Amino acid sequence: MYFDSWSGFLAMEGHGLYVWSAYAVAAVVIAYNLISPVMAKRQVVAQVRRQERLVKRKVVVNDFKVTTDSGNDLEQRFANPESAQQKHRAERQEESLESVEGSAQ
Amino acid sequence: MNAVRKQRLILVLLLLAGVGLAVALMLFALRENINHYFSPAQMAAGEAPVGQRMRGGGLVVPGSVERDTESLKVSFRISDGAGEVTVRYEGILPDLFVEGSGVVALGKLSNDGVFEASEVLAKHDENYMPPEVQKAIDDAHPKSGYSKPAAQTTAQSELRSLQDGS
Amino acid sequence: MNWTFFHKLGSPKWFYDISGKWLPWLQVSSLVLILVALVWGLAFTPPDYLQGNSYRIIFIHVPASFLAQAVYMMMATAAAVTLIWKIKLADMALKVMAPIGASFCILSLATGAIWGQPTWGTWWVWDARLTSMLILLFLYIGIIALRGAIHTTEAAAKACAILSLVGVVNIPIIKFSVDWWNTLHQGATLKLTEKPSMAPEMLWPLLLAILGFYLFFTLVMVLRLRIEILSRERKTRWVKELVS
Repeated sequence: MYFDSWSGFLAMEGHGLYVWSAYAVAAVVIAYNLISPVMAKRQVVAQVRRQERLVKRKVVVNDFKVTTDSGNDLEQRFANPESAQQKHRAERQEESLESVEGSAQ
Repeated sequence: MNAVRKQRLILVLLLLAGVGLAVALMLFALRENINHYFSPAQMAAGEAPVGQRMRGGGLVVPGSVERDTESLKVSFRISDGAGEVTVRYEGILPDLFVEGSGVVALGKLSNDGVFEASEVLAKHDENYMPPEVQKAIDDAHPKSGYSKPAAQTTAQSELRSLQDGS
Repeated sequence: MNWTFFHKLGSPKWFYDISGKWLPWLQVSSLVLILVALVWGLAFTPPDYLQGNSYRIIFIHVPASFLAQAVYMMMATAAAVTLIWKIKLADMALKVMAPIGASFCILSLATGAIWGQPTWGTWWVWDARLTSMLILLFLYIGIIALRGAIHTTEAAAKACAILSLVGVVNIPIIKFSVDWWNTLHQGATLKLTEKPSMAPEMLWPLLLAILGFYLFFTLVMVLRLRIEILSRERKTRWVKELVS
């Protein structure tokens, strides 16, 4: 150790202000470089999750549209139980997604 | 490498070459003007314009520093080995201003051949060593007044760098 | 020549998978080296015969300056690869390296200015070395700004690559500025072909600091590149599965 005491270490024989402010700037730069990837990661994860939610909604809505379109012919609708089930499933899914969205906001 | 990529490679190289050439030409043309630097020898020989803002640098001639007791006025001579010029300055000199080491002064050359400096900056070389090592070198090679470790080589490199400012 | 290997190198997923293993090594080594080097330099090296204790700024200033230039060289290389081989990963690397390099350039200029005040007597002078480093900072900022201003990925990639290459001519200017012109900034202490003009007890912490900072840069770059990959490849299944 080239300094006799802690106060000597801080004072750096008169050059303390210069040395320590330089090291402080270095600390800021290092901190920035460590924090910015963390922030970027959060943004990307949120982006991907949001994208997935929107895709699911689109699929559900499209499903819904497909089933209601084919239901113009009443006979066909009641004759084909599966499409009726799809319609119900679609409606329920949309409802649950909406409630999830509501709570997320 | 396929033909398309080869073509792109050539374009990139041409881009680099073109920019490099342009910048090299610019720097060559502006060499003199970038610096407004004149050596003590040039100033002493009257080659430097009077009254124009310029930079001058050299080694402080040992024993030439004269300080006014009443004010912060100081005068000293700088040398580049080929010529000397007197510098006058009023203000606080940098910590590293010592006789025998390098300075760079900004200011104007006056009619009587004195460089009136508005700013005096200390120039130091690229050597770093503990005080004991420098002392050992000084003991082995007695100073010629120019306080430099390994006095010969660094003084020469200092002078060289100060000289080829133009 | 087996170009398939080279092209595999350009696969974002491959890079993402393999780089995950590097992270712990990079974190530990950079942290340890930087801490050791800086503590060593601050407390366990003698003061300089001429500058006293202010020279201790060198353990930050030199690594930052080297990195500011080296990162730009890497960006120029990535730019050339982007333009010639159109490898997406190269453009991603170019994008993420710019802010890191810029931060080190700012660090170099700031620590240099702080160091200049007690030694030279001024914190700034328009000599060739300082001016060319400032130009380097402007180039970094320009590349970052250009990336933000152009909204298509392909067009932004091309523009940033071209600007990076145009600016690379500044790097040899920075390096040789102290030789070609009369500068206030002194010449190189660490030279390629000659012995360094620095006492060994000061040289070792400096070399460790340089290595530590290079490793730190690698760590930050890899972290940011991985995130950029996730962002750009977000429509692929592997990313969707990874995130959820």
